[in-house]
Amino acid sequence: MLFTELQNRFLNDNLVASDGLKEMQLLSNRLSKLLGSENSNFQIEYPLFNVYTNNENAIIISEIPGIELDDIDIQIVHNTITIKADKIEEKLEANNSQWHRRERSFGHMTRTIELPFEVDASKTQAKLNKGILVIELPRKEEDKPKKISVKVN
Amino acid sequence: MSNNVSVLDKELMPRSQAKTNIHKFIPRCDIYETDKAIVVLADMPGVDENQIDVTIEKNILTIKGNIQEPEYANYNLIYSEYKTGNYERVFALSDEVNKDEIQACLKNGVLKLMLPKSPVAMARKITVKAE
Repeated sequence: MLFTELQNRFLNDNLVASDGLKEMQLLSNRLSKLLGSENSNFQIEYPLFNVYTNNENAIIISEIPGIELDDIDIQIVHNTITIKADKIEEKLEANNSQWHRRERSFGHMTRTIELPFEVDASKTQAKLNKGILVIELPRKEEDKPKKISVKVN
Repeated sequence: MSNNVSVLDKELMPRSQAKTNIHKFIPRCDIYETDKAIVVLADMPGVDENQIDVTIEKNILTIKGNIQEPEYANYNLIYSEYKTGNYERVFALSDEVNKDEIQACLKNGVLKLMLPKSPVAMARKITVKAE
């Protein structure tokens, strides 16, 4: 049986250009091909992060589809958060099965991110829902900004 | 003057584009074939199981998934490496698929589609016997 994809404008180089970074990599790969060098220095590190903050909390969000909670490891040191995750490769069950398309990535990922403030590791919560990792990191009490009232003499 | 231009812009823009500003992504897919079925795995993080729409019309397989944009009120996005949006991908199947027995399940943001081959497609294998 054959699988043909319709409307696969973005699927050149086996990359899905789903955001600006990936498009950049695609462009960079093409450029380096043009210039004759096979290895491009521009590499994306996975998983990708979105970081939200306010004065009291930080929230780190990452899309990690296909990863189990047991395969995620989060470490916090002061304001540095390290996230390690393993995405296990899908294996074919029977001998006479065959792959038609392989685009999803797998393997070990490590990312480190620095927040603008120190966080309280004991109050940190991590949730995995529908392939999205959400880490809520409360700011350390002593690190929070203090309001100083000014009195007029 | 600038107001007039923006009104004109809106009129020229197709209605579907003007309505939403949500990105549409192509989910990364793994596809494999066994004796009895075709299996499609699609990375669709953030999609709820009742927001997935899988249709087969003739031999065109369409996978659609809508997400709910998470809202973090009172928060500032200080660093962003990816955007969120809905997913859509279309495949053409060469053989007949048994449409009544398609199974779909969603786990950890990965959609697994089991498309059983119809008996017509399976009967294609011809064994040659020596006389």
